[in-house]
Amino acid sequence: MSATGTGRLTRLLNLVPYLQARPGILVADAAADLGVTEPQLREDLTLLWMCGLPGYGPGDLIDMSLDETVTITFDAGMSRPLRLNSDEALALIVALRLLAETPGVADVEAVRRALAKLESACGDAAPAATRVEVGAMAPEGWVPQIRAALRRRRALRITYYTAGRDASSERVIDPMRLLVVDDFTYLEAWCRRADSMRRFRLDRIDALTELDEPCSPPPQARPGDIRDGLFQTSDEQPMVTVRIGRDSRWVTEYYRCEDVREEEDGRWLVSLRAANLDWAARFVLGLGADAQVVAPPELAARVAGDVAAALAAYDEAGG
Amino acid sequence: MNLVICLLSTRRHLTAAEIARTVPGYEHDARDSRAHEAFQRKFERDKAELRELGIPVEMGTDSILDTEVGYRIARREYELPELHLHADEAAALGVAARLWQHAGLASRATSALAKLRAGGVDVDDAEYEDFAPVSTVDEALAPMLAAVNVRRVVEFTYRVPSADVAARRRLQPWGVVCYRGRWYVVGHDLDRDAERCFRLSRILGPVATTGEAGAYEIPVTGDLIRHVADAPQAPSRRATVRVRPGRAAGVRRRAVQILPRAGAVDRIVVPYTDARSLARTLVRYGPDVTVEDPPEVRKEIVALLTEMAAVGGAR
Repeated sequence: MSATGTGRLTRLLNLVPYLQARPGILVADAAADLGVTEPQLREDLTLLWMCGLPGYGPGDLIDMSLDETVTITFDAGMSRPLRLNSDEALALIVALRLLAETPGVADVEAVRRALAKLESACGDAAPAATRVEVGAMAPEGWVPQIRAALRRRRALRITYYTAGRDASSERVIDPMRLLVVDDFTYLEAWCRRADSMRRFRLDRIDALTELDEPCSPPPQARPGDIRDGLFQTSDEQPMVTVRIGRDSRWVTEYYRCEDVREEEDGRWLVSLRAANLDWAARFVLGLGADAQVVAPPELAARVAGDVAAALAAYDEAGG
Repeated sequence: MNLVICLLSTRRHLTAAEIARTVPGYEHDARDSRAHEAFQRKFERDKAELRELGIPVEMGTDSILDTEVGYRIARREYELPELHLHADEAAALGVAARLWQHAGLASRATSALAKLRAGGVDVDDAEYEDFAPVSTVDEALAPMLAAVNVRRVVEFTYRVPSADVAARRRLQPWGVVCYRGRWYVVGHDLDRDAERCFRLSRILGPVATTGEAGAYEIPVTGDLIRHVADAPQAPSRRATVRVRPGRAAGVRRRAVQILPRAGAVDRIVVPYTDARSLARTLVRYGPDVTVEDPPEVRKEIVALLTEMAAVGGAR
């Protein structure tokens, strides 16, 4: 049967117990809660009228009173939903574990209680999830202060370190959303200084104060879409090409690279977009003697100049 | 739907013929062989579909006198047990269901939540609307978990960045670890005959399972994380560095102490664990940062700069 057929059956199997647990619910509310349109829900309900116990007489078919609200009056024995299968159990249980280990974000006590109840309800479906361990997620940092400000809808003053410019600055922001992505936590906010949306990495916030001012982002302020990844590079950013040795290959896992070419001697030719040439110089210098700048030439000159100047500084001071 | 209700409502196993006589949509003339074959195909397809959804369709007979197998669904196996969640617990579930970026896991979490809602749980996670936890997972996660669950050997192509070629690895997986947002599988490496952990993002291509289910025992010692985590070391040493005015904010923010200036140059104290890695960090700032003390860090950074100058000169 088609995927839509399977999808519909799943929906119908859930629908009867869902309504059974909520007698008199508004059809519109139920549709919104179930994530379907109201006409779609009404179509499903009409179909349910044709389902029931063998015999399929008036007393055997699923029955309900239906107008603006709906109440199931006969459920034909479909009072409970199907159990979670092991994939479903796993998806929720592992997610709860991740939440439980991400401190300061969700109410950890509530997460643990939910986890215990869910594991017992899943029964045999749960074992795979028990072989998943979670540790050292994003550190707590400023999360409690930020969540409090979000709740009270207040603006924040922060001191923020921008790695791209290697500069710290103070700014007033309108906090909008906390984003925990793998091992980093970000605050998405309207930055009044930049007059645009910005994403602040919590471990780069060096000071934070909640202001008496209300949080008032302009109407065009919207948290970014992260489905295509957190970082978007633009063509305006300078492309940097570096030849790296074996010990620096980690950069290809850590940074988004535009191109990686293997050369015959085990060296890799890596191209990536840099925030600016200053950042690129720090990046290349940090790789030490394991990296050579291939392009652009001004970066190569800059790096060579920095090395010579730094060496000279030590010579002056007496080696 | 009617097939599910029918099989749930029966205590005894119903044969295919009985089901055909009962459930609408299956009626046909059993003497017409083509109609009967069509029924059989449809019935097989529907049964497979139910099983795919996780509906426990049992096969069996009720007495030794029955010659033909029948089918039923045991209500106890089918139904989600009662689950009473407080509002805060249900809200946590709602956030958890939004966690996955990976399409497969996301849709499973959504369908799990739909079942729990159907079971009477009201999920209101408005409390968390300004909070978006996201876990990006690797393709290999789902097949790896499935293999752990049935204890089957896996085979995959693995490449660490430092290796020049990818290698085929065979592993008895014990479990999966998420450490600092990165996913690993831990288990017994059959080729190296030792405990090993593999980062899932370094697995190339599909994960294949081989051999029988239940092929090995998983050690009960637990604690898979120790295979992955490196013991964190608190920086115990201190270095004094000179920073040009207004420069190297990245070094300044590490300062634990600010010393009196030397002329126009700022002097700060930064903590560190390893002289070499501190040298590697500071060298990023070129002539803006110079190490005053201790000698071990000065020595490292001068050696590093000398090496870099030599490479640069050879260009």
